[in-house]
Amino acid sequence: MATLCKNCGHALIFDPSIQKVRCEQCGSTFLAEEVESESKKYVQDQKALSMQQVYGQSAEGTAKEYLDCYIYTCGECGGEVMINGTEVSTKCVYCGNPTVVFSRISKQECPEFIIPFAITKEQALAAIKTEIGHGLFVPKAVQSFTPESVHGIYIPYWIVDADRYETMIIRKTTSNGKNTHTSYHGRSGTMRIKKLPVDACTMLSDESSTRLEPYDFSKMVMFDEDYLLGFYSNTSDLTYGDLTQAVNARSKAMFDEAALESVKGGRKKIVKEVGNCAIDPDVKYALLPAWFVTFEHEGQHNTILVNGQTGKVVCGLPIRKALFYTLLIITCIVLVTLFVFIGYHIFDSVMDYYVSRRSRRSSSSSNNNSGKIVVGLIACGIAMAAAGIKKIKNVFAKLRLTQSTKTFNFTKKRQE
Amino acid sequence: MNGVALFFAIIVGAPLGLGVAFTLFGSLLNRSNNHGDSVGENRIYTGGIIFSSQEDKKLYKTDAQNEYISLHAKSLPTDPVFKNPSARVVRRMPQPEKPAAPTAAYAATAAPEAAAQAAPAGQGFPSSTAFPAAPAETPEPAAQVDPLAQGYSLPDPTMQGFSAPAAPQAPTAQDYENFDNYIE
Repeated sequence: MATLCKNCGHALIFDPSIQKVRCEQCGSTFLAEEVESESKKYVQDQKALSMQQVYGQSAEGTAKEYLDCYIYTCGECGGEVMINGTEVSTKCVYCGNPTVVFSRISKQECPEFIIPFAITKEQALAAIKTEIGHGLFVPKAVQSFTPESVHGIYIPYWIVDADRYETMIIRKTTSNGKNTHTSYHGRSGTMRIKKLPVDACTMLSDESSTRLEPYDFSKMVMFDEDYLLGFYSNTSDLTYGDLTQAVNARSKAMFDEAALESVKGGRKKIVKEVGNCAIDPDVKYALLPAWFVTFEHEGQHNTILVNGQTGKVVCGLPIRKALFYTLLIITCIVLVTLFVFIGYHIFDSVMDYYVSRRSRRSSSSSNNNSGKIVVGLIACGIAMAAAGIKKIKNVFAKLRLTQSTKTFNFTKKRQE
Repeated sequence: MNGVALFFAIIVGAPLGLGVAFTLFGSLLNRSNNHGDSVGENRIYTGGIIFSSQEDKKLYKTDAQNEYISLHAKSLPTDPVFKNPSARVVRRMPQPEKPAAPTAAYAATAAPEAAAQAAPAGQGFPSSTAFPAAPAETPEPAAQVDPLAQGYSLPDPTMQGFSAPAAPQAPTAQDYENFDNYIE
């Protein structure tokens, strides 16, 4: 049901630029907390009906398609609004008025906190344009893309405090010439983790949601339904098992990183470890804002995410592969030729030097140093190539994430 | 031309050339096409490790390593709230959004609609695992209908004309479902 303006009765929406709910009809603005007592007198607990209850038993074989859909009646125009599994707020497909499904919030766990949108739709689009507008390998069509859809969505998160306890053995290997020295380091301790956000929506991949971080939790306010007006939102569909698993994995990675940092130098690896994670009982349930901007490029749907509080843009963009590979191959040929040319002259002169030195002294003084330099240069080249290939693969992985059907489906199944 | 020098120049120059080219183009591509590729840093969420033990270079042997692990590894209490159902508190909406308190009649008749509202099975937290809320908003459990206690009192066998009340029916699965729907 839409929250109505007490002056003209038109539906209100939340305006991130002024951090208030605003009536588009008469221009009145109200604090989200302010309208609560007035407008919610009209709130009635509307009951969601399943698709089957509305349209009767569907034909055999098609039931699964509608299992997770619910029909609400728009409080403004009476139109039927269809929402999927965990949506809490949406827009009426007929009159465009924002709709908050109060009964769903009251029947499921109510969020305790919310970070209201601070970035408007226009600001989000401007941030994207600025970010991707000058990429060398970004196709021109993408640089000047036209958004297919722009959705402001509140993502449900569990905000977790936890203690991570771990005991581990770290093996450190250091090389000194021909000698390799191995040492073992025992580490045991506790790490206190505070306000770790865990994405509570299984429809959105964790990899996407973690890249939206960090959020500034000092701007978090008590949850009020009126912050949802004009935006989409979902409720948590994460089980407690999933939550503990996510916190465990994340806290372990944090602990391991910090423990490895405590051992200086060398190549380090954890060879043995035992640990566990205790989550504090007062897990907070909050809605955090994000803009989802989708566009199509060469038949692929791409979804760019923008942190709705900080404006951080998260995406992997399509690549001008022909240009990239051509330039890469040309550069490889040029650089290899250049290094071989330089190397030839260096080796030639070095060998001349050794030959003349041997003939003078007739002694086999060690040329170990030049051998070490050669091996070192080869190793350095291989390491650089590996690092470069890793970076290229990472960009392709992020592109796959931007083009993933899961992320696209999360935003596309919304009423426009 | 010095063949040996050329051979060495190739085996050194090729990896170096490829390495520099891949590093350069990897960085360029990353800068151009990958945006926001960072997660929240450790320092945002934690103040670091408080070490209870640090031993360096004394753990060469497997036995010593195992001994260190077994000596220092200890378990923390894990999620006490969720292992103790009585400690679970249901969070509720403020009064205006809350449906009217159910009566026995409501509990008996509202089941089909309420069942339609309930989250699909297997999704979300169980109704009883919601998180703590302000105590003032939590209604007294006594105010809810207890299907076991309703209409039942011990009969006095000496009273004249006494007719024993009907024995209370054991609650059915439907009763529990109705009750749970209200709690949610």
